[in-house]
Amino acid sequence: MKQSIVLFLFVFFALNFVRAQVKYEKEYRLPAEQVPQLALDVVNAIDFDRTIKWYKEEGFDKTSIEAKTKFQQKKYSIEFDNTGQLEDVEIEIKQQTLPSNVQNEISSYLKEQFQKHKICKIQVQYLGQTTAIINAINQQEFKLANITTNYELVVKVKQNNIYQEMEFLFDAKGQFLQQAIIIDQNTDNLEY
Amino acid sequence: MSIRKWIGIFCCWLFLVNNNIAQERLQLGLLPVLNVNKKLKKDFKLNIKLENRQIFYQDQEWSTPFYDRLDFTNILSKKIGLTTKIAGGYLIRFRNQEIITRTIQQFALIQKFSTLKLAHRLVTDQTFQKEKAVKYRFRYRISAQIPFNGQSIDPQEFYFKFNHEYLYALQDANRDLEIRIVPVLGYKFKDTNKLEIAFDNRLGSFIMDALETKSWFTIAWYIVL
Repeated sequence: MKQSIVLFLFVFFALNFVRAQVKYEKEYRLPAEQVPQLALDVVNAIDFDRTIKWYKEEGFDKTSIEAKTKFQQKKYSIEFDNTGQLEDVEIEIKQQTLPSNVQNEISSYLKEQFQKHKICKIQVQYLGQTTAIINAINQQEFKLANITTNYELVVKVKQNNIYQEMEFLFDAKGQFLQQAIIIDQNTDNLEY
Repeated sequence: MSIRKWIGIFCCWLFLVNNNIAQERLQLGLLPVLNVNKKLKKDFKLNIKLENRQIFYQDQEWSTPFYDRLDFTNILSKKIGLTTKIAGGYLIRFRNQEIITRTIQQFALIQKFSTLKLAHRLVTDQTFQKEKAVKYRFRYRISAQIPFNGQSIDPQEFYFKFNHEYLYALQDANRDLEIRIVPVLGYKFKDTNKLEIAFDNRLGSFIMDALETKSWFTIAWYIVL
């Protein structure tokens, strides 16, 4: 019994110390009452017919607000800055719905860069003036001159015999724009 | 969650357990676990686990918790795919004056969904004990993990995990099946530091004997060096 008490006390003291030392990024549900009015106005102007879930992401140097919902059987994610200014709209799509020329461009880029790859998620990203975006969603017409289209992909890759998850951004023609490594969350507690 | 709620949950567990107390083959106890992990080069990882079992109810009698066994496990794993890992290692068990050893082979698959993480784990192990035949076990465990808030488990957040496992054992002519059901409340201090509290319920002797129930109040600390 003494061994257990000593182990418990050690665990709690050690964890309290760790908790006091570090600051982290955080993402959590946000009640609609705490969402900036500007962001609420944008979402209310779109003909969404299902519940909107609001999230806040607090990063080291940036805080953003995100509205998530399903509309016409697609997952929508609308991102705002901390004051409620619209940043972009992302809609999850299936790989086969990508234009074939874009698919080919992206596929050949990934084949060139990595030993293996598997696309896990594709989102089409729309950027532009708030009113243009609202109209585009309501009319489901995004091929407009005042809207920029990009594709954001989450891809599992093998490079130098190391497996990792990465996020890529390609433009409307499938040309590479940027990439970032997604930090793998520790899953030891699911394996042992 | 306040300490009062924790005490409430613990009392509920004791109450549920008390309802089963009529069973002759019931064991209750504490199971503190220290789980240390170290990342190595080329997708290798080392896991060291220390598990101490204390019993406070058996043979239909309550007692002050007494030492039952101490397990030391050492496992080396290697990522073999985008979502898969293989692992192998050994366990040394110190029980009474006896030392029991076990070799372990493991395959794990982790699936990620928008808020849910699912893990499938297949394990085979072989237990070696003096003057006894080798015991072979085949295990399958499915684990589901979801955050209490938001879509991902962030630092300084609670999460819920549920483990469900089947263990089939062979020893000489004996066969046995054990089923484990483990609801877990976890807290992530940071990605390399998690604490879990669980009620580890094990129903055994399904095949050849009277049903045996074991229930452990577990506190597990997972750290990455």
